Amino acid sequence: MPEELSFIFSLLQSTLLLKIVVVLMFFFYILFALIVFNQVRVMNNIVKIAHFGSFISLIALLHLIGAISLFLIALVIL
Amino acid sequence: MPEVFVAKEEKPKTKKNPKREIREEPEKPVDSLGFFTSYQENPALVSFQTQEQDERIILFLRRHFITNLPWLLTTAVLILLPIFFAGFLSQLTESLLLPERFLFILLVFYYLIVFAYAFINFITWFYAISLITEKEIVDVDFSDIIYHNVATTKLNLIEDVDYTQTGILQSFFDFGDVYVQTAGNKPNFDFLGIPKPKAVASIVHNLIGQTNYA
Repeated sequence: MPEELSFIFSLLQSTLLLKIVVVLMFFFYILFALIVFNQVRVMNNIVKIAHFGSFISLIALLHLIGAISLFLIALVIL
Repeated sequence: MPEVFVAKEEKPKTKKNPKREIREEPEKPVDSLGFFTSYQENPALVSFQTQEQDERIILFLRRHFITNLPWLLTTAVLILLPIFFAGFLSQLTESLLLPERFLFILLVFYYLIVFAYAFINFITWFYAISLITEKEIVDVDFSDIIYHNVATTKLNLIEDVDYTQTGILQSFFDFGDVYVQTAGNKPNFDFLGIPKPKAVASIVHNLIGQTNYA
């Protein structure tokens, strides 16, 4: 019985460790998505290519929102 | 005898003169850009930060869309990869005793990374443009997300222009490299993988001819 308990405990610990690693990874991904969004904004200031700049900005923003959502989902369900 | 009715003399009907179209100088047609346009003469709705009020853009250039083929193919493979390895992935999660929600979250993350890979490659292509105006050449370089560079040179500083077109792919899709040599210690401009290199070289050549004679 104690062996089983220690097994479950170690499993929980490893899962918790994995959760921390995954959440940290997602956090850094948010920073990356922020950099991408900012760069798109900077490039739109440098050159204006018809009205496509705002469309690209929108995609970058959606990517950022996706990254934040994934981080929050990971916090809740993992 | 007094005249009871006098018919008005009908004036010959003349159409109102339509406004004369006085064309002092034939304006060059301006064309709007498409989303994937790589070559456009007299582009509309394009401007850059340091553009002067009276500065007209003559040529808009970026790499030929076919040069995106490698990363497009890589993206397609990356999208399909988890489908091929679905059985292996489920076995892996079972053997590692991982809950399925981990697999789900990691799979979503994987596709987000694939999307980011494609998106970054696309904007690298999209924003790396070259503009040839009446006064200067502007080269906007954008790569690796954190690097961007805007180089300009006046047309009167250009010494020579030449182009190369090598290989079957370049000949078939009509794209190649144009090299613009500038005077002094100014960096040279290399327009790589652009469509219609011969036409571009010719346009730049004509422009520097005009500038030098002006």
